[in-house]
Amino acid sequence: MRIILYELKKIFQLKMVCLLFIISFIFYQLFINFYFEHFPNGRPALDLYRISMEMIEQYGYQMNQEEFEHFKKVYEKEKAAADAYLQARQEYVEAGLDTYEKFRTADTEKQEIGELVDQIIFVDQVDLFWELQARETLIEYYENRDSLFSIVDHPLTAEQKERIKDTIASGNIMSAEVFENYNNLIRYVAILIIISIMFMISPIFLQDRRNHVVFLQYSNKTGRKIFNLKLQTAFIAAGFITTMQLGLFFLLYRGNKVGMFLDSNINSVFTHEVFWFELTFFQYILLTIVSIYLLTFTLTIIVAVLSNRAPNYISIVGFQVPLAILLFAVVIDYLVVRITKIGLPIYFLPSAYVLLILIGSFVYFWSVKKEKKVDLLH
Amino acid sequence: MLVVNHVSKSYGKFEALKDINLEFSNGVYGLLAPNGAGKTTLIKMLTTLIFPSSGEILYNGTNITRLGEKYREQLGYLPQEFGYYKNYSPKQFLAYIGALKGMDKKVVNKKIDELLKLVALEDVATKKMKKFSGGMIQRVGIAQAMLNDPKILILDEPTAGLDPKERVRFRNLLSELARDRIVILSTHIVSDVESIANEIIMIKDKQVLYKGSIDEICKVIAGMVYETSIPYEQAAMFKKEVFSLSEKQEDGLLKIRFISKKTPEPTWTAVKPNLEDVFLYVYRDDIQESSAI
Amino acid sequence: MNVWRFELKKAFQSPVVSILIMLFLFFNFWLIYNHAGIREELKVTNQLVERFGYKIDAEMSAKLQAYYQSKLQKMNELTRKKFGKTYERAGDFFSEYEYRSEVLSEEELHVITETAIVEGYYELIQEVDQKYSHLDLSKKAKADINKYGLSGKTAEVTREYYKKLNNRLDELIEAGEHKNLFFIGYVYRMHSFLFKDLMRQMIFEVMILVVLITGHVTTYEFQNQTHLTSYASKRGRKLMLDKLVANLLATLCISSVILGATLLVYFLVFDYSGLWGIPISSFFNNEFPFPYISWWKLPFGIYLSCVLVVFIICQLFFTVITYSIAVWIKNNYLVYAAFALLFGLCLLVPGIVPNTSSAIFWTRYTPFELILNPHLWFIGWNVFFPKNYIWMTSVIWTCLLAIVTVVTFLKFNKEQID
Repeated sequence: MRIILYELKKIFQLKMVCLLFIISFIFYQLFINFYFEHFPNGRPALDLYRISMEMIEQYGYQMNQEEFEHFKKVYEKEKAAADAYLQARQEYVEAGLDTYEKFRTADTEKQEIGELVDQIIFVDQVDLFWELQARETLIEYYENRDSLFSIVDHPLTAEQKERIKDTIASGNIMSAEVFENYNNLIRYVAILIIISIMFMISPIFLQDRRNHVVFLQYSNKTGRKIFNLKLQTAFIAAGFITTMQLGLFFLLYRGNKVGMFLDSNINSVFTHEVFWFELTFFQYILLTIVSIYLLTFTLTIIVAVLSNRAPNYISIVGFQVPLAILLFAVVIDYLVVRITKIGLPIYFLPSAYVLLILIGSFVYFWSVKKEKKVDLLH
Repeated sequence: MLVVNHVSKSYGKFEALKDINLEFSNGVYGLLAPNGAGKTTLIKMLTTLIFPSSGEILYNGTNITRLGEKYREQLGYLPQEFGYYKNYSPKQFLAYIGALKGMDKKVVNKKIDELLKLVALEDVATKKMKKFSGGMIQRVGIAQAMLNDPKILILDEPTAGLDPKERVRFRNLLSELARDRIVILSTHIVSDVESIANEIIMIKDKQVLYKGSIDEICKVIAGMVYETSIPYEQAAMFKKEVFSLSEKQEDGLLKIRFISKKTPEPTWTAVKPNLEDVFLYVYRDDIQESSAI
Repeated sequence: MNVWRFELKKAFQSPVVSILIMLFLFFNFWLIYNHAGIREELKVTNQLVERFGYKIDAEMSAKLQAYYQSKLQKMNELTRKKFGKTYERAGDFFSEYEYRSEVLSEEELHVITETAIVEGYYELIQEVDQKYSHLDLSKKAKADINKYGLSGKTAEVTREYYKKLNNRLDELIEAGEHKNLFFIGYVYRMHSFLFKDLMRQMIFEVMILVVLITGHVTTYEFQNQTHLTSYASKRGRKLMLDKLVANLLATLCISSVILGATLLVYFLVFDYSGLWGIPISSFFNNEFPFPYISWWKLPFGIYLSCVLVVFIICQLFFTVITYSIAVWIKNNYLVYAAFALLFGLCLLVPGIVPNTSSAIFWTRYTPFELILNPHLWFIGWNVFFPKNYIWMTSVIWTCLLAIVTVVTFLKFNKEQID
């Protein structure tokens, strides 16, 4: 344990920790902040988000046909209010835009009409009109819920059909904005975590080799056990980094005010997403977290073993370039974002997990075994 | 008792050591060989950094690989390229090594203070090693090797970077330590071992050539070492006839120390051979070997 | 004394460099392969240019029309025979296409496709004048000001910018620069593919290699404990100069390998014969409602060369930046991190500058910002791509880096090496 503490101290050198802070700060500014500052991203996203909340307040987490009728009635009422709004304004009546229906279908190519429409929508940003648009979208989603059957490209299997049918029947209410926003965020957070771990763990063995301290380490009582201990140190460090990054992220994510949706079922006609399991948004978040941990632990072993074999820094960084490309461009999309979606086979995620654990353990045991026998020359 | 039993080491087709047999009991052993003769290979095997291709190394009758940490617990080692962390102070670094040696924290701290005093580094105990001189670093290395009070102390080129005063101190220290432990000193600086080693091991052509006390080894060339003074003009001719050990200028003449198997001439003075003579003679170049003596 | 030769060797001795080069080339070829499906269709353009030239004028237009009519007639003969049906437009056939594909042979389908493409050219040519006369850049200025939330001084700059661009547009229309055939941008997006997808990918690939190598070579002596001997040799600290030369040479090598191999394959796959002289501002090159307006008349061949020159200049900048960092830091792992940080910072700054400050314009004059949009180099796209953008960035950074390098040398010459 004492050795692990010493090794941890070596990983978390002040210099490296400061650099990690700056890297994270810049990364947040460039990629992550946007999804905090611009959530919901403009209009009608804001209105869709608001109305989704209102729906949950009124109908609970599911909406049945009866409640949908009520929802439509509210729409009609608001439409009447919009009519009144237009009729109260001379210039709109004169331009022939005296009802919302006409306003909606107006030919905005014509300059004067275009300007009148812009005035309400973009200049005054009248909530009522934006809200109406959002309600229309939601009603459309609900009415066209059969289009869920086309979310998978290839012909549907019986199980997929079943899941989609269930989802359509459920009437689950979930905000597409919230879900999309979270997926975007967690993707970048996962990337940041991967970068952090690569950056912090890469020197773990290489440093001692370049310093020739490894000769002392292997000839001391602890001997080659230190290899194993350092791998464990790498795990602890990676776990710590991941936890801190996730902690910081979720602390900031609270600012997005999605608490209400945590109990929403993510299989919903309103998000246009279907998953293999009946997950609430909160459970989905937990699942992504588990995935990130599994991913980072496997990555940690790979990076540490690379560090033990690479002769110099150009190699350790160079060999991680393809690894990073693979992770960012492919793996995160399959193992972190939208996991358990029905586009992939139901057993994909569990087998991916098993594979990750297998790869990780294989590399771990192989390298420990190999290190026991290796001749230490330089 | 440390026994090296028919040990060979090869890397692919290249053979670094061939059938080495050695026995170590308490005392100072001088491992003497020119660079590249396999000294470091032997030492790395004794420290479990590399493994014999065949044969075995036994400590008190058990293979050291099998003993594992029980063996290394008894081991103190100063590598040729002593590695350290530039940003650590000697104290921090020794504490780290203490942890690697599996020592109790309190014991380590006490021992560190003791050792730093012994190697005269107590003033800089908490200064970063970044700014240390080579000799200071070497002394940290010596301290770390002795940290666990080892039963076997293996030192690879330990005196590199030490000044004459430090060297003397270090030699005395070793002599004292060697009373109840094995000290193996690898070096190619003959004077280092000459004064303290009980036994000398010479390696040549991947094998142990001689093993014995200094006197025993010097017997190899007993009665063959002479000194004489000759004019410079004759030097070239003369050196073709004998194996020159050292030359220096004296009173306009060349005073030469050499080895010859011929019957001595009257101007030659027989002298007592020393270890350096043996070293030079044993490791002489092939060309000289064929022409001289 | 060719010390730099030995330094150059250090750059390429690490196997990771060659492995990465192979991998990157594979990525590039893969990208080209994925896009190669349209290569047969693109050949129609070459045929048209061969037949009528690429300049669009009344005469050419008439000839093209006649050619199109004959093609359409041939196609209708075919369809009448096959389906007992004729079409007014080849395009109409394709709205029903799905159900008929099995009946047609490869060759017959080819006839129809070709007709459709010629038809596309013919119909688009009719639209050219109308499209360009409808362009209102002052509207675009307003839209930009809105979009980026500009006001005051920066809004004024934007209006000025579009006035300038408008002048260039008038000049371009006057000269008929837009009236040239090219691959249909709306359909095939060849400009984006070559200059955005492929070129940007290559910029990043070469940048990664260049940074890795430069960091490695520059810190080599310190990393291998040979610094005491090498910097005390006769060449002494001038060795750092050799390292700079070697790094720059390595950059040129890497750039030419990646660019050479990739572009060779690109132009083997996609036939540009007969199109090298067509201005990049051609109407047919447009991919979006807003056209590509190059600030100067740049035929495709010249444009490509200019882009390549800027490409290499940027890579040389990255070399010198990495080099300067490396001389100061001496640990190449941290050098890589520092370069990444600098990259991030340079992208970050323009984003946090207030929209009312003209700093939002000049903070973008960095090679890091520049390489993000290689498809808009030399083109007036929006207020952030002014006429002087490329050469100003090049000149400013050349001066800046020259100063940095000199300071770095002075510092290194006085440095205590231990």
